[in-house]
Amino acid sequence: MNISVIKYILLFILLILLQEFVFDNIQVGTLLTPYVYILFILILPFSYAPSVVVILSFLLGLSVDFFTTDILGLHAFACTVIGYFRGFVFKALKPKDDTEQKIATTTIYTMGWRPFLLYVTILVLMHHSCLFILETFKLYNPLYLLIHILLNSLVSITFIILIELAFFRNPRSQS
Amino acid sequence: MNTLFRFIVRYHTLLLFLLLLGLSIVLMVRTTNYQQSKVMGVVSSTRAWAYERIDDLTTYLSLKKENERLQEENTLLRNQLNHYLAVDTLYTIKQYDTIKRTDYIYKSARIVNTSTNKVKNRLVINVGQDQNVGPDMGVISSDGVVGVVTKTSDSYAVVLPIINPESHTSCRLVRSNAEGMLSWDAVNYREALLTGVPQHIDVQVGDTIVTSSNSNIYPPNILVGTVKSYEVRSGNLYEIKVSLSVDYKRLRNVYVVKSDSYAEIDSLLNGSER
Repeated sequence: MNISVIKYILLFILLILLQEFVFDNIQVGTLLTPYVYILFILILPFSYAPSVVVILSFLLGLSVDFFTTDILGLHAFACTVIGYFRGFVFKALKPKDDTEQKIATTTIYTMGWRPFLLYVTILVLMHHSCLFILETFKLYNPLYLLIHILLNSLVSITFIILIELAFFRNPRSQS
Repeated sequence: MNTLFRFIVRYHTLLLFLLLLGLSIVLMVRTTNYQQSKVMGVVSSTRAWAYERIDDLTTYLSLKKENERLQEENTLLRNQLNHYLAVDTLYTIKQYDTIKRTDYIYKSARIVNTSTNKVKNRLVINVGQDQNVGPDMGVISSDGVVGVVTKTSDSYAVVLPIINPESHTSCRLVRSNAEGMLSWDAVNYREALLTGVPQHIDVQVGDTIVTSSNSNIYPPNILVGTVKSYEVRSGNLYEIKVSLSVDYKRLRNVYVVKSDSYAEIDSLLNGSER
């Protein structure tokens, strides 16, 4: 088996455990919780077929549902959506000179700051919109919902960037 | 046929995406309906078991605070007991009231898992059917009202706290004696909304709110919270913001209240509906 596959399986399990036992207990303000586990979907290599990414996203969401919510399918839905649209967002943002598909995974170092921030922001907003709209299905308070989505996205993006900075090394500085 | 195959091969990612979206929607609809059932599934019981093991580890961290709280409650109860003992010292004939039953039976329990950051929050406590705990029993703590038991397994129960939009508690303003309905608007886990109080009633910031005697789940006069602010909404009714006395993040020890009259009243009400 490929070493990178094992690495991603371990990351999958690690992120679910972190989400369940660490990040779900962090509460910024009153209702804001960082959803950091979607980092897995963001950094999956682009050599994987889109259908594989969609299936993996669904499984990731389902596992998080299983551990943290009473409603199965909530995170699964949101994850499937970003798993599918990930490729399109990336295609729109990737640098023009990347004709030979040099970018294997999306990190700050391979993509550069601006495109990476945009990439994360768009996908996190997409994920959180799905999540909160589905969760508050019966509560009709659109303005509050919008503020909730925006603020929570800000918290999640901050945590995702911090994790990227802490754990992903710059390949150029290594050599 | 050939074109169909080519279509499937060409759009297999999109088709897979739609299929999985459909699957999640089906799961969501099914689990929200499943929540109506009163018995926890095998999955939830296993989860509750895991929560309890984790809680066993973390419970030591808050032991000191918890002891202080229990000590405080003991002092309060001891003072109340003293009051009862001091009454009527001259009149010493004991009379046992055999007709009136004890209305409420309390059972102590520990919270093994809490959520405060979701819209549909819930608690898990470590008592269940084996301890004669069933759905629709109230849960209170020394700080005030906590919630209602919704689902049970053999040794765990799921509690619907006040901070869940599905929860509705009938409450009373102590000073003005007005009744209202307490619900949660999913904004802040320390606050809830009291509605249904008419405008002519004098409401002031800081008024105490307790459970009403209309509720046959909780005993009457259990603390709920205090009035934080109020405004007139929807015609002539107040919308009162209540700061809850219970802090769900710090809550550990609770009491499950079994009301003796609940089953009787419930069957009477359901019978009259038919």
